[in-house]
Amino acid sequence: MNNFSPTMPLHTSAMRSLGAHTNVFAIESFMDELAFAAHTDPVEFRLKHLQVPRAQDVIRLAAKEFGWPRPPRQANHGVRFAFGKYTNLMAYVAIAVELSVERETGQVRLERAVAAVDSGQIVNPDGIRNQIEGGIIQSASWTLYEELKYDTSRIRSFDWSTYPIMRFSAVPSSVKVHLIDRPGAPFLGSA
Amino acid sequence: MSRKPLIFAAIAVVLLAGCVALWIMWEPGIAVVQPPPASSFDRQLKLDGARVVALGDCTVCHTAKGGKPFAGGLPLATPFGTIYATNITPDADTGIGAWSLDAFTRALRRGISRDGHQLYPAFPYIHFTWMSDHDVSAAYAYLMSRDPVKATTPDNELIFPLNFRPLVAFWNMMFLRPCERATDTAQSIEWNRGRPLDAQGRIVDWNYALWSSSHNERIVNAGRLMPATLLAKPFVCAPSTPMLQPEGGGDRNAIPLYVLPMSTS
Repeated sequence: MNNFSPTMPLHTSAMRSLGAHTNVFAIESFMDELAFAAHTDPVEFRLKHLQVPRAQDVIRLAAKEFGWPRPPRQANHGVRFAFGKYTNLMAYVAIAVELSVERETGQVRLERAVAAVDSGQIVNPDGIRNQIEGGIIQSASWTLYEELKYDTSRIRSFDWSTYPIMRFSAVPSSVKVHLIDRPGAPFLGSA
Repeated sequence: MSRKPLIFAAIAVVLLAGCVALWIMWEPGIAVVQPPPASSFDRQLKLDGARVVALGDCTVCHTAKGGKPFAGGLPLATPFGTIYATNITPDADTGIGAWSLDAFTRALRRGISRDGHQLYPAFPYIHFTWMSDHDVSAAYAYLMSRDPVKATTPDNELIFPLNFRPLVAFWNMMFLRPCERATDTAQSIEWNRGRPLDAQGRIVDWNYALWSSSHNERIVNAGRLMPATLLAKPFVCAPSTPMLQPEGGGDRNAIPLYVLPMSTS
């Protein structure tokens, strides 16, 4: 969709990943709703409706390493699962996260995350891990904190002390990334 | 004329002034109640209260760093000493669990604690006094349905004579204008709701459509950088160029990999 409006009061800037993150969020949220409606475990439901073996593999690995099936839900804690393949062409990634919420304040915290990645043949495992860890932290920061602050006069978040962003005190206590190596398979955006 | 009547008159004036001062400073206690169970409040009232309490930002002061929400203990450092925010969870001993709605309302409207002592205006009751009856009872319902936390508020560390609470009564005479803001039924809801904001003479909301940049607005020249628009002589923003994606207009990941059977019934 194209809608360029240079006369808006606030000039935002282009954000990476374009429609992918919103589309994956919509798809995965709806898959959860469908699984719930079908009285099925959300991981089982995803596996059942995927016919791509490499996609199934990252989902199985992330689920196993996270400790799926989920233990009974604790009060004010939640566990969720998601899968994505950037533009349907790049790396396969599955992720399970545990979140907590302070109900009175609405403060949400990402407690831990476990991801599984298949990006073809691995050349530098540390590099891939860093990519995924960075992606998890940055997307958590976007989702939970980052916004353009403004009032009737001007933009109010114009430097690092006024821009809301995830700080060290809020980073998850554990982020684990598990890799699947596919010797001979093409690199999918990261190696 | 003897000086005796003058002395008596002076004593009488002092006594009278003392009585007036006592009358101004003294406030009755309000009887303790059993903490009302959360289930005794209407669900919608509690939801309204969650919004009122969020808008009032109660939790910011009434939560210590790392502490339980509303359990108090946050130190407010002032040039006159330190005031500690109180516990407003429904704990009967250390919070407001034993407070009736009347006691809660009096605290918000007039800055008087349940037992009759003056609260310091660090608690902004001179503003909360304008809250509607409904908002006060909604906030009460919400706070009373939180988890009770046993947490004794530390004693304030204020300089003399400010550590003598009854003197706040004289401050209140100057600054507190207790009343309920009546809803003007002749005006629209928006008008009534908007009044506190209008009083500042400032618009607080724009009527604008949500807008975010698409791929066509990616950074291709300096004019596309947000800070560049703030320069005295801003760079010119490059014109928007439609850019087609392989599957059409930027529909990345719009097509799921999942295969879901279509309903045939």
